[in-house]
Amino acid sequence: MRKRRQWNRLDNAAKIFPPTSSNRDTKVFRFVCELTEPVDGPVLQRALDRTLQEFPLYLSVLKKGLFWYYFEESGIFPQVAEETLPVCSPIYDADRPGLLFRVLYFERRINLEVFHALADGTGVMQFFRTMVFYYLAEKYSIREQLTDYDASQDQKSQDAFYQYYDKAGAIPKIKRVRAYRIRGERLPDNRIGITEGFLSAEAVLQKAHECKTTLSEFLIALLMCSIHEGMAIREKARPVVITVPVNLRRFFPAQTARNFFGVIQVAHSFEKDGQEFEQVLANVRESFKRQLTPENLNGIISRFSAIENNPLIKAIPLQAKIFFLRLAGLRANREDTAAFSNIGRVSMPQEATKHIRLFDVFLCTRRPQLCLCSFGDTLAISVSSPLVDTGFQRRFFRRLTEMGISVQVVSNLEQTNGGDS
Amino acid sequence: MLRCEHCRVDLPGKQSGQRLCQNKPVGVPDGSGGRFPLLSESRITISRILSAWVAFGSVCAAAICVTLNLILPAGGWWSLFVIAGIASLWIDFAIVIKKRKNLPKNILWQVVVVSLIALLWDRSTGFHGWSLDYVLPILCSCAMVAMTIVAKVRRLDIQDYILYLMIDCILGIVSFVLILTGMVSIIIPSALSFCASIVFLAFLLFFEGKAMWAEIQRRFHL
Repeated sequence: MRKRRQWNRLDNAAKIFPPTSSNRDTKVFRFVCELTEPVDGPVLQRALDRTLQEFPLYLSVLKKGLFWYYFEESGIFPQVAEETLPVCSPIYDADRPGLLFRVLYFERRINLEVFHALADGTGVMQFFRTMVFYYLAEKYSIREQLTDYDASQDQKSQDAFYQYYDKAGAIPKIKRVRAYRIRGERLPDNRIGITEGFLSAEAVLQKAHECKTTLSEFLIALLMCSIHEGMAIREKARPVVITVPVNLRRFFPAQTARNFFGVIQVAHSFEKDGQEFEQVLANVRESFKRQLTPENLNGIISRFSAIENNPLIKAIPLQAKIFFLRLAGLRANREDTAAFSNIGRVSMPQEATKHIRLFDVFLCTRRPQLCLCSFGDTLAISVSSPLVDTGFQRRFFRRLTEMGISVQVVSNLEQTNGGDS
Repeated sequence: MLRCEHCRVDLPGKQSGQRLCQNKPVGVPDGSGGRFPLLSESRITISRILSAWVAFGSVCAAAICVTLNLILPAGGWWSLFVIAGIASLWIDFAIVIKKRKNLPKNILWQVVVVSLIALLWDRSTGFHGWSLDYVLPILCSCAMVAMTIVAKVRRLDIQDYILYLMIDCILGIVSFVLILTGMVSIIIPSALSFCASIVFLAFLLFFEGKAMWAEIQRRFHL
């Protein structure tokens, strides 16, 4: 008998991505693992096939229903390929249903590109680690097992928003402000410029601890100051607003490999709140403390789940919803200057570690985005931006080098033809 | 390893420039290879050039017609029909191109769009009823046959086209409703289309009922 195709609803956070993605803003993120030796394509293909058995949701295509999008199981089998496209090229195309990820390799790098509707950074990282581990296990005959992520298939494809949505939860009011936006000439062909900086995690952490803050708070304050230095005087009335996605798995016991994040915003008006680094840092620290409370996070889940679960909204046809979601997306675009996401520490079994140089993550968005993740002592800070100008990236990394931290910088400059190469 | 003395950063791999400050780095590359491939310049495809020429041709044709019409105004505003004709063709052509990856869906879109365009033409030329008498029922019936052929030739899974076939059958039934309401004066095409719709729907229901129900659940979930 013919197999009936399985289907899944999109989780709450995923619903915004299909309507708001475009060639300019692909909502695709790339996970990079740089190995010590060149990548072997056929071995990577086998590692991918093995990983997909554990993450069957990744074999889905995204389709439109009358009221909502949904994932439908597909019979497509992905092929790993050598990288030939610009980074984070579009993946989702409503007229060509295809898988929502691609696996690429180039020299020593394994790259996984994923459309955000499928999963968030932490979710994709579980998939990516598993694939990299299977690759290394076959290539170097590693006997160890990847034991720190033992979620069942149900847990991996769980909709955690649905599980933790509490109707009674109070919805926090958000103050909408029009943020300062970095403007300038864009790179050609909708490409994005990536600047990857590799630092010693220990050294940066030590600096953060000297200021009595966490790594994220420290780097956000540094980012805000770097952006501020490039602002024209007449633009200084606008606050610099950084959107920070928060991994909700840290606060709720979910092991889902799909989306489960909420966003908080840190705003600093350099005109009113002060221009010194210490003042910015104090503001960032206070914002984090105020927003990262269980009540507020519950409220973040409730805010969007309440809209999604409203019977009247449910009954609006998808095409009309797409229109309103696009409007909401455009409005949200005006409300932040940049985004900052911390994927956290990536761990691998001991035997696999020696074959890996680093892990890195970056994301294609319309506004600049800073992503960080660490592996061993290597902290990778990647800044993605669609603009030709790299002023704030330069100021950001220079601030770090001025503190005596050594930084290695890699970029896709030659690819984007954005400079004077 | 290469180094930028201005930013005081190291540059691993082979990097000919420095993205942060655009200054030339000093030192020698460390031989660890590139991190990103060099991309070839984006090329303009033949289909793009072709569609640009066809678009250019249509605009020229429209402009010439309007000009001739202005010079020789004797026959009324016939150039408007030329422009409407070109616009109709372009609308349809755009949908064919946009939906080309999914043939059954494309066929259904053709039924809807061509019927609507025909209805508009019919209305604007005195409403003789030919769009409802002939175009809608004939398109519906042909689409049913075309979808069946496409499904067989391309060996499609029933789940890939069942929804489109169902909608097409419903459109076929609409032409029967039009007979009942008296909006259709030539009965035969609509009656045949109604018959074909019932036959196809009955076939789907009796032989592919479960797939039909599953598709309805998927597509209409709230």
